[in-house]
Amino acid sequence: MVSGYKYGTYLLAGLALAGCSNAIPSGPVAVRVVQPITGQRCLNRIAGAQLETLQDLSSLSGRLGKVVMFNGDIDANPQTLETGAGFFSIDTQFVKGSDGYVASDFRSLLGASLYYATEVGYKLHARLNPAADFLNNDPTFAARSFIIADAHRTDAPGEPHVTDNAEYYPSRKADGTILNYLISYPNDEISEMPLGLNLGIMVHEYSHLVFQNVFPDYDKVADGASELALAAIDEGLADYFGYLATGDPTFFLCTFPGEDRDLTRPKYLTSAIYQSMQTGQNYDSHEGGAVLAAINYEIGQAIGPEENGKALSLMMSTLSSCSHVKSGSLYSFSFEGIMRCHAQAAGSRAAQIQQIYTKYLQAGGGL
Amino acid sequence: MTFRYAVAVLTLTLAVSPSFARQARYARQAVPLMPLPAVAARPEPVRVAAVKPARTGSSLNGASSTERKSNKLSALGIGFEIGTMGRANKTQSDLAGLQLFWGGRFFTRMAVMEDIFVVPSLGYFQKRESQGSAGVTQHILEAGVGGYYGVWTGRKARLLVGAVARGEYGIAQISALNSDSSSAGEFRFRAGPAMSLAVGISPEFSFVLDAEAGIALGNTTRVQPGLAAGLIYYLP
Repeated sequence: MVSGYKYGTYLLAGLALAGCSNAIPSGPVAVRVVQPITGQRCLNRIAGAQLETLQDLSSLSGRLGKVVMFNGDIDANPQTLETGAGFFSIDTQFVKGSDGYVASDFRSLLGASLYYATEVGYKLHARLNPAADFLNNDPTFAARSFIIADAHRTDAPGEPHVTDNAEYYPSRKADGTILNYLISYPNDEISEMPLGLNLGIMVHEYSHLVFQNVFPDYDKVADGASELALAAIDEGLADYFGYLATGDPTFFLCTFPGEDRDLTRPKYLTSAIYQSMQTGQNYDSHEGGAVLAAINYEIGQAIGPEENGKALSLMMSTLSSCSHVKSGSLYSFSFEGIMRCHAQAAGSRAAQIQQIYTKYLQAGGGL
Repeated sequence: MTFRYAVAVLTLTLAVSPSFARQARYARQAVPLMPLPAVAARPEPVRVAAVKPARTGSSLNGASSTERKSNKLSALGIGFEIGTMGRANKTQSDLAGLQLFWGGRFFTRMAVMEDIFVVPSLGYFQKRESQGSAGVTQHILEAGVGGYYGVWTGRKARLLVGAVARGEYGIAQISALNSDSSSAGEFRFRAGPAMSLAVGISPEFSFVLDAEAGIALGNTTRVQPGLAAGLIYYLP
């Protein structure tokens, strides 16, 4: 009887130990995610990535914000995006692997991938420009940043839910502070890499966040044409930073193979694109953005991709002092103005940069 | 004397009564969850002295204790069942807050005492989720044992209740566009109450329906119920 009791105790202790030994530690950990192989096109590897800013893997929260979900349609609850309240954490499941924790269900993988992309984006931008080092510059950054997985939103009332997309959504409070939302929408028809797992696409979204946080006057545009031009410029810059993060100028095609978003393919600012930016008719910000991204890819090949990234990042954070886009207290954006601000930020490489811009902007009347 | 006479009359009445004879036959054939001995396949004329009505609760699959003692192998059945196992998850569920795994298990059912059964088992369950070209597959290999008590025996059915304890090794595997799969494993232990319903469908086979409600201990504690159905074959 005593022996049975003793063995029973050992058994229980062993089981408890087995359970406890699997506990996920807090603090930075390595997590296995899908990572692009630098220099390869749409080739990936699944490997452990150290998430240095992560504080709690179970809740996927860290110094860069928190991966969250929301029950139902976010737009039906407008106060949610205005206040950041009402979100909840993913019920994650991870098991320990040889090179990091491995998600054992898809949403855990998605959540970890979203945080990973946010951290890669943060590190990239902080390296390029100290003004974008939000962790050192802004102690409130984590509290006002959310990464929403599988969000349900509608473009307009009565419209179907947005799917197969990703978005950066800023919510500006009355006091001027911005709540940052990096949003991944549910996958519906995509048969390639889901957006949330495409590092380039999520760094693209993080780059929108950077632009709006380092350039607080983002909303102060002089007119509609400026607003349309700024949106296209924002898309183009984001595509370029997505390329820098992945080393793959075709990262967008890994998810949308049919789109004309290959940065290596030269693109001209045609008169049709130029006119659409002037009038808003048949306008697609990504179309003009793709032109700017391809221009910058060529500039990157000429002066070095990282060097060009630094110049672009510096331009973003110093737009408020660039006379080529500023008119009084408002801003008039155009591709020509951006070319001049970019060249100004690039210093000694200015002439080289202007030359490449000119080649692609002149055709459609962009200059 | 009068009392003895009364008992004798009652015994004789029961012995010739058709309903008693039927009941006695059912006592031998009621729940054919295992092959009945050859002698039982050819029902003998009911003799009061020979028919010691088996207490239904004390027999294995309807066989009397006497029969079981004469052939101990009859207390052993082997089976296979397929079904689903759910793991509670608040944000990703297939049904009622559960992630559903599908698979099956082999098991044996052994009578160790009257009405008490031990059921060791070995199983495999899987769940795959994917979006586009990326996916996550969870594999669960489990080995466990259940202890059951027969709480009810009907004409062709028997209900057991008890508990199961299983050790499981969960493997997670990620795949993505043009990339290699990658896997890692974790041991978990789960235990909880269980019940098993067996319904005889032939002298050798019974249909079984097993349900359990385990608590799994891993890096998080989760409710993990299961439901499986299959066949059990009683070794001769």
